[in-house]
Amino acid sequence: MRSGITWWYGGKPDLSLRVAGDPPAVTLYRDLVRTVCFRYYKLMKRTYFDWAATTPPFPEISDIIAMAPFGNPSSRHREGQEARRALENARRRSAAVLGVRPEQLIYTSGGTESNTIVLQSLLARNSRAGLLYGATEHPSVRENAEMLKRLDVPVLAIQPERDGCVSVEALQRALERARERDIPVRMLALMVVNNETGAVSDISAIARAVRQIPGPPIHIHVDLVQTIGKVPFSLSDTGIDSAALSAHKLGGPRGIGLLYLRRPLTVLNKGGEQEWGLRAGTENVAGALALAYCLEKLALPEVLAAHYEAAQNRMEALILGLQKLETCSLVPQGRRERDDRFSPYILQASFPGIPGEVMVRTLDDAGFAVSTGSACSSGKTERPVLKAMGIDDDTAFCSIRFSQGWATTDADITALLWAINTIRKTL
Amino acid sequence: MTTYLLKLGELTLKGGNRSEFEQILKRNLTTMLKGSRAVINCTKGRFFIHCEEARAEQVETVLDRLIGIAGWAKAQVCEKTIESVLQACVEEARRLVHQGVKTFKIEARRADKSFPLDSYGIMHAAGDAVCEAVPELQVNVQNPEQVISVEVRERVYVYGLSHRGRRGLPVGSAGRGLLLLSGGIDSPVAGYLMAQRGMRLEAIYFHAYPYTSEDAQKKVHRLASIISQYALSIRLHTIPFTQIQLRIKERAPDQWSTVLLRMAMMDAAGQLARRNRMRCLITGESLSQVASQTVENIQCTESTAGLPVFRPLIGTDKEQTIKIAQEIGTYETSILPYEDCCVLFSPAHPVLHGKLEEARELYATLELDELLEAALHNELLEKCGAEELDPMPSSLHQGHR
Repeated sequence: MRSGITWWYGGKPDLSLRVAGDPPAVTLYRDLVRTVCFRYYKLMKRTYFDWAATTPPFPEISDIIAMAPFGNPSSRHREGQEARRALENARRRSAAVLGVRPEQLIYTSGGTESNTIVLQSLLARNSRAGLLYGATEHPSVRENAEMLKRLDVPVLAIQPERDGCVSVEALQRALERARERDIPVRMLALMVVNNETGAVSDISAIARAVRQIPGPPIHIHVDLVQTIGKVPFSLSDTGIDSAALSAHKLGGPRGIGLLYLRRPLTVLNKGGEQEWGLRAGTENVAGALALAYCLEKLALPEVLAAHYEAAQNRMEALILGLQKLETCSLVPQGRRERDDRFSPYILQASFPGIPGEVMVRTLDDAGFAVSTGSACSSGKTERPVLKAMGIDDDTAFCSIRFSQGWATTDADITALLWAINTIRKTL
Repeated sequence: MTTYLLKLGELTLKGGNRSEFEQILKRNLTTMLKGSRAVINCTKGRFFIHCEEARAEQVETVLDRLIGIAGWAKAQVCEKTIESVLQACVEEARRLVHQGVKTFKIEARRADKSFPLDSYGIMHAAGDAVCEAVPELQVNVQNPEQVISVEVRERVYVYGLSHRGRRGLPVGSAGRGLLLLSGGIDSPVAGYLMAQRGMRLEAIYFHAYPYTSEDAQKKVHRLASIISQYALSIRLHTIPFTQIQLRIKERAPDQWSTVLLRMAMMDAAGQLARRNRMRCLITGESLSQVASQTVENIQCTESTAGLPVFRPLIGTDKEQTIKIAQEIGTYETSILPYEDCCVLFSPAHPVLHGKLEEARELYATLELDELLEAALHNELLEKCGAEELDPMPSSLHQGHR
């Protein structure tokens, strides 16, 4: 059984990161620690199935960050200008991969901030503007919508279909309700791939439907955090107005993300004139360079297609394997292998009778990192996403999420299935 | 230099063994004041603590938590002359007025008979002096809001504002008991109440990993640390109980599982207590609060203990318990959402009035002896002390991507 931890140092101890000027003793000591760590992890046989939470970083990332120019891109001196060049270079490279214009990309600290900037821009509008958002959104949208509601912005949640996807019909129903309640809908916030169930909403069709609505245009914001680099998606062809993405779901570092804006917005947070005044604060040049690298590594169409196909194969094996276990039901129940309505990277499954958190702990001890996607609170669980899909409490309570990535192997899936089967017998 | 005077409450009722209790109190005080460089002085039934001004806050915290005293006060120490005594009384009176006190009286005690005024004379003179200097204060001998006390000993101690102590008997004066600590609201309170009666505590916690999380265990450790602020350090025995729970689930009828689990817990706790020469078990049970705490089920669970089981909360209701928990500071931790027992093992319709014979028969069919022996053998022993308390753990993180 091969361990999935080989991503840790790309299959072998990485001893190449020497920094010139380090005394030999330090280098030697560091190499020793790295080797020991590597062996230790080898022994532990950890297998990572929580790629939707965060992904292991590419080993090259630390080099990229270490080599990034340190200057402030807003400074006039050479150091500053060098940093500015690096930042704009990173932006150009990212834009080329995403098929958009460089000036449409704003660097932020991650998905949550990107979502927040767009949602809070509603407060900066002159006229009353309402928000429609998916009931299964990530907290960065859901909680922001709650806050907007308290600030007198009319908001309405779109109830998804039973499979968790937001369809054109679901949107029409929500728009109908908004009309009844006299909500002037000016913004729509949706995620393409759901972070808990993997359900994929057809954003192109939704965008087409929205564009046909007469009256003032509706801003379409999509959360692409689980989409970019994983599921085929085109920013330019779908006609959306803004999108959020994050580097650490793509093998990059935390604290860097992108906001795609088709046209500039009036934003609430003000400060310096960085990023055209849309996101004030000194730019994270090193993060931008790392993100550009990750996008080039994962989001180019041909690479993405190859990874997608491989992930599809592994997910098929996982789903078929789980279906063989009598005591496992997929969430939602209608999910099949090679189902285009779902991302092959994320699977939510329920093991009736075993609380999700117990399964997570047991799998953790067996060497597999998975998560419930939520935490148990005083005897009952709060799983708002599953609840919004109409999943009953018992199933939701016993649900866990498996999420895989580009470095997951067939052997990892086999090992996972074997482990679940064994655990199922002992618990 | 700041001086504190401690009033012993119930201790003064003790007869021949009073000095023994005082020694225990002094020992506890020394332990709790460790690091404060305070000096404890115990003479003729009075406790005095002398410490530097800068350490006063630390000493006051300890006095607030010390079990076994009726009250304490910050005392002024003055020369053995009438003028300085009157001066000190007036100062105390000003302090009382500052606190919004309206009526007072003076109480005096003259242990040193060489002082020129007798106690009645001191009261008289000091009363006059205070009334003259602080006209806002009225004398009320029958029912004063505060008493200014003067004690003439080797020096003269004058104190006004006295703080209420935790009363009870010094911890360690009533043997050792084993507290069944679950992580809920009740059991820490039960432990505290027994400590207040002078019992030194050890705690036992049954850990059913992976059905209960590491967080639940940390929570129990924290609770024990909080109680140890009052009850001195506590040894926490964590007993792995998963195998026993699984055996019960496997062999026993569903509705009996809770009662049988409790019987197994009492059995394990009783064995552990006897091995460590403890005299009793302590639980946070309150009559009929939950299904397993009806009088019949308590009879069943107690049958395996083999030691007296103390239940200080048996007649209290939840509200009273919560009040004490908030007062001693365990409540916030107790309500953290880590379950101490997994839903997997709780039946939907538990037995409410179990028959003892039936329970014993079912318990015998479980054949737990070996499993219990193994569980006790694999115990994890930790020492929980007040010094380990760190800030509240942040709540559970939610909202993963």
